Amino acid sequence: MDQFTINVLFVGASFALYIGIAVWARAGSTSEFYAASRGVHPVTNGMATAADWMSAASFISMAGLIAFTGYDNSSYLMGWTGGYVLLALLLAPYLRKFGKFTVPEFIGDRFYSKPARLVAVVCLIVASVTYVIGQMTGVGVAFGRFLEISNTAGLLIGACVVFAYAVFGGMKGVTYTQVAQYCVLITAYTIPAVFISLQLTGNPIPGLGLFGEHQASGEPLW
Amino acid sequence: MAERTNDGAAGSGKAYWTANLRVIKWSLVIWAVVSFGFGILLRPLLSGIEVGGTDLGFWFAQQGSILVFLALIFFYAWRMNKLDREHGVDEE
Repeated sequence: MDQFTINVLFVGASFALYIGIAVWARAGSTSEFYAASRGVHPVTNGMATAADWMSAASFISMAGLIAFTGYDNSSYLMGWTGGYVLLALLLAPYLRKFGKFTVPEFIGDRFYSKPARLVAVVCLIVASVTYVIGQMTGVGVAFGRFLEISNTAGLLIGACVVFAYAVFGGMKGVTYTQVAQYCVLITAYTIPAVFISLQLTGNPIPGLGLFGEHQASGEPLW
Repeated sequence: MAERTNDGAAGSGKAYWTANLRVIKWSLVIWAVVSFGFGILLRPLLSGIEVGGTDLGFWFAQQGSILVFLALIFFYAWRMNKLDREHGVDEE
């Protein structure tokens, strides 16, 4: 079996898994679509959130940026992760208790103001588009490479798959697809990190290998 | 949240909110100090302190702040659940 066949098999299998999950978890009501009927276990939800953190952009670009620039790109790590603290402390609990589904809806109703709602929508669109540009570029690069097609074609294939499972399954479909992605990603992240750390520092735990010395030269890594 | 907080104990809603704000305030102070503080602004101050071969500022920027963030989120969830129960506004 040549490399291309293996690629198609693996990419096809993961596509089939994600769409299968979306069909299995398809939404029947608004509450199911936006909030998965609020019936997702916290650990499952955490796995889905973690899959959001370990997205295409962090897998393809951020790892490389941090490896090359070291301390200077710590801001990505801190900003990226610190945002979750703001979300958990300032927004998520109130959104949940208020019983609304989307952030603009919550802000509009909470402050009795249509302009506030509009501002929230604009913020949401700006943030989402910025995020999606990065992610979809990553999708294009990844699928273009694996399926040996142009980046644009790869991007379109990826977009269709995401569209399919997001529209069928709503939040429930997205959550369980993300859980599947989490299992795939955490394996794909950990294995290379362990072996790179082992080769560079002789320490199999990447988080501790950071403090070690480069084995070949005896210099500290950072 | 508002409807259920106000019935019964009239002062409870206000006390609950004050306690809530206190938890958020101190969590955010810690959040800012470990990342922006230790990781960036105070890094020169911490550069003399070594942790396993690297300086403390660098460690906070790369790993420490993230571990603290995780701890903060878990602490917040635990503290707020406790607070919800004390003031009778929990979801059960």
